[in-house]
Amino acid sequence: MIDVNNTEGLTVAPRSSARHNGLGLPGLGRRSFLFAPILAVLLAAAAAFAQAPVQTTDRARVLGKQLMCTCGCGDTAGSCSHPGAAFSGPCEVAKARLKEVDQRIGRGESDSQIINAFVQEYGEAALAAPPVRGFNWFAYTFPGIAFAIGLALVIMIIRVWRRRPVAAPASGPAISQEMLEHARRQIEREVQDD
Amino acid sequence: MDLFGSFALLLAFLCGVYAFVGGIAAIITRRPLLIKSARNAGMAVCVLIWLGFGSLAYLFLTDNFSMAYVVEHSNRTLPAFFKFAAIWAGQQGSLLFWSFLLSIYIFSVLFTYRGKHPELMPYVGVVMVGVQLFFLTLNNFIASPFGVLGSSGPGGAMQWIMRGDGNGLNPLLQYPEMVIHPPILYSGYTGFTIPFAFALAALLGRYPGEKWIHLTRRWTMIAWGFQGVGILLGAHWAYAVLGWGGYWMWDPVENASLMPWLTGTAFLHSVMMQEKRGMMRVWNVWLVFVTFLLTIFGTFLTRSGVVNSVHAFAQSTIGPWFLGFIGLALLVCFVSYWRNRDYLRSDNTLDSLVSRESSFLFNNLILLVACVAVISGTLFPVLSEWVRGTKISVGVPFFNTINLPIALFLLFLTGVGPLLAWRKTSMASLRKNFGWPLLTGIVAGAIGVALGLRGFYVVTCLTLSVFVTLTILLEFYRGARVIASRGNTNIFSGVSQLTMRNTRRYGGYIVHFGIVLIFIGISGTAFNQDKQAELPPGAQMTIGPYRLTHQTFDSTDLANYKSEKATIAVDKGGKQIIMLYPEKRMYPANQESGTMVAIYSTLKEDLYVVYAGHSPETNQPVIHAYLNPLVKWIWLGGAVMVLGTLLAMLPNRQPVLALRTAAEPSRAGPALSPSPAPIQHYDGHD
Repeated sequence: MIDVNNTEGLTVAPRSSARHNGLGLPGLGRRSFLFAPILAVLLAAAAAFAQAPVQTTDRARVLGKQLMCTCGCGDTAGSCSHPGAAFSGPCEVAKARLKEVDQRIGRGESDSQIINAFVQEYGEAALAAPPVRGFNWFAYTFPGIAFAIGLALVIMIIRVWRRRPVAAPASGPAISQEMLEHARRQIEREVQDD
Repeated sequence: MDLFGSFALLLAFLCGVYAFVGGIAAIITRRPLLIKSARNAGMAVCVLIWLGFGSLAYLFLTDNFSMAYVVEHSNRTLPAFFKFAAIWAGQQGSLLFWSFLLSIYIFSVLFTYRGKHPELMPYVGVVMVGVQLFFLTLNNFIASPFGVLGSSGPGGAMQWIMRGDGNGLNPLLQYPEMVIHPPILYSGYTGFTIPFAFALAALLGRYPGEKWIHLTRRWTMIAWGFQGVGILLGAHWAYAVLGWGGYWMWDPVENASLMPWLTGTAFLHSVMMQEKRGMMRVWNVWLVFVTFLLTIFGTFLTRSGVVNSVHAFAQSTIGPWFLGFIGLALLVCFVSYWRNRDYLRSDNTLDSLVSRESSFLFNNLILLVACVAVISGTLFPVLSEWVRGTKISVGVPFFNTINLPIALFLLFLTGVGPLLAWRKTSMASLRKNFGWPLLTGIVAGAIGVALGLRGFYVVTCLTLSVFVTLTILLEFYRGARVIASRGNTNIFSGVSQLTMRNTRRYGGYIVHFGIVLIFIGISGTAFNQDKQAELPPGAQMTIGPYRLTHQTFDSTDLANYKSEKATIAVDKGGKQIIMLYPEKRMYPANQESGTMVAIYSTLKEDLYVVYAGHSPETNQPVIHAYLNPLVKWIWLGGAVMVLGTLLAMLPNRQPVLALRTAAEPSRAGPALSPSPAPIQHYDGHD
């Protein structure tokens, strides 16, 4: 059994050949116990190095979800599953993006530096959401503007409705049977069917 | 059969022209015979479209590969029900399918109201046939599905070609849900034509009162219900087939279906203001107009290639036709409104700011803002390119940022609105109705935070969900308790009687509860996890509490596709709980692939397993596992919404206790106050 719990992305998955001789290294026979301490140290070091890409890949995938995949899937590079293709994982475009993010992380760049670098390299279309600046402000504020205009309209309507004169109370038997019937039906509707 | 179909559609077009022109003449001359003739022509149009649609279905089911459209979307080994579904797989067939569904609505309306409402129906007929004529124009002259394969023979003569087999259906569409999703969604889109036709007809004919509202309420609910179910089925299809672990991507096609649903929802609420108080007449008419126009606009978006979409139709030249029709319809609406605006004047006053009327105004405002947010986000890339010459992407993060606060505010109004009284709500009533639910909601949110729940939107969603659920439950409980005590029955019988006495109100509450469930489900997205790994047979991976063991791997050659299937044993807490079989299918006919996701679904979470195929680098099988909390609540919420919608469409049952007079004492006890006159039960629908 092989546990691949720590695998993130496709680059760190173990190979099945590792099952052949227990250690996954060719040419080690009975004398292998001589090399055991050395091997243990080497493996520990390898594991330590192996963990580093996993962590950076995690961060790359988080950042990848802010970057568009341009393969046509309409998804982000961090979650591209390429529907309809032979392989339902990150496509070559998404992998290239994630790899570039990984490399930049490896160079110690911050998240915002990486995102800005992508914008400079590929334009704003590289981002899953337009940056909040310049003309893009319009996209973010338009629903708010619509709300403000709508709210002003609602307030105006309410004021108009409240200003309307209320009918004076009837002073005599001037109400026809038809009007009474109409009013009664309206009351029934309001009481019964709200 | 292709000639038969073409001929039927051409005849339908000619009949449509007659029904349209004859209908206008009938309105002008008021001659009963002409009115009847135009109506019958309208019904004949529908029958002819059915014949055209039937002939296309026949061509698909009999593998007639002399037809270009059949070749493009079917093949011999395709199962019969997918061959039927292939009718709407492409541009031409889906437009005929649109005509077909619209004709069912039109026929139903013309048949149901034959001989009734003589002042209104001629106008309704003209508007409906006018819309149908537009689609028949497309079916006949712009995007006919009856084109045959041919080539120039000797001497330039055309020679028919019969292909041996077709290209096959898109694998993403070869899924049982895809057979029902488009018909249901299209039934929603096309159904909004009916309230539009009645609204425009009432305006043009200056039809008195709110009768058109009563007449169209059920039609609107049918269209709205179909649209909602269609959207959810589309989301479920995306979840189960696309294999990306999500159900909503804010894709332009998804947005196109959401926009008319939002305005339709606003209409279903604001229409009550007109029914009860004669208010918002202008608003309601325009809401119906906008809803209809959005159905056409959404279709334009997905068919014109204006915006990029995963599942839009191929870019075509059909866009200008839709734009032209939208422009014409808008012009007709505006001119009709301007000429008859005095007819829409309302006289009622608003008694209090804290009232049902105000809550409906805010409800409508927020629904419209949500719609504007979706439209602006969808079109912003186009606008940006036009203004700045720069392409930008507007994806999931943008839509979530904009729409989450709007959605939560709507959820809040879902709880508040129905509990405010018409005209005026007193402070005592506010305290009585909202005190405990609000307090309990806040306590629930605080408990959530104490238990480690993080994120403003998630905690707010939990608080509001508890609040709204309690307000709904209290409404049922209070009413049922009164009925139970008066009728000497138990509380459950009381709930049943209460619901059936006012199906519209309590059906509406059930729909609201469905919305709450959907919100709870969506809030789970904040805690999604996923892992992807190469997993050769015998290997394991864990995600959350689950351990996945890849046991075996099978490849099978079937008639229509080749299948690669992984057998995954799922353990939880050391105990095997289920076997999952994620699958990848390769369709030789069109050289495309499809995923069949394996899902272990519980109320708490979905374990969603995708067999992604072989890694291009190592050729090892790759498994992508997702742990998606609360997704099942979304589908449950959808089912509850359907139940509530169906209930709201039922007629009210006679309120027995209210009608009982002192002379007829109740078996269970003293009667209610006698009515001054026998009350004629008002159904409240039509």
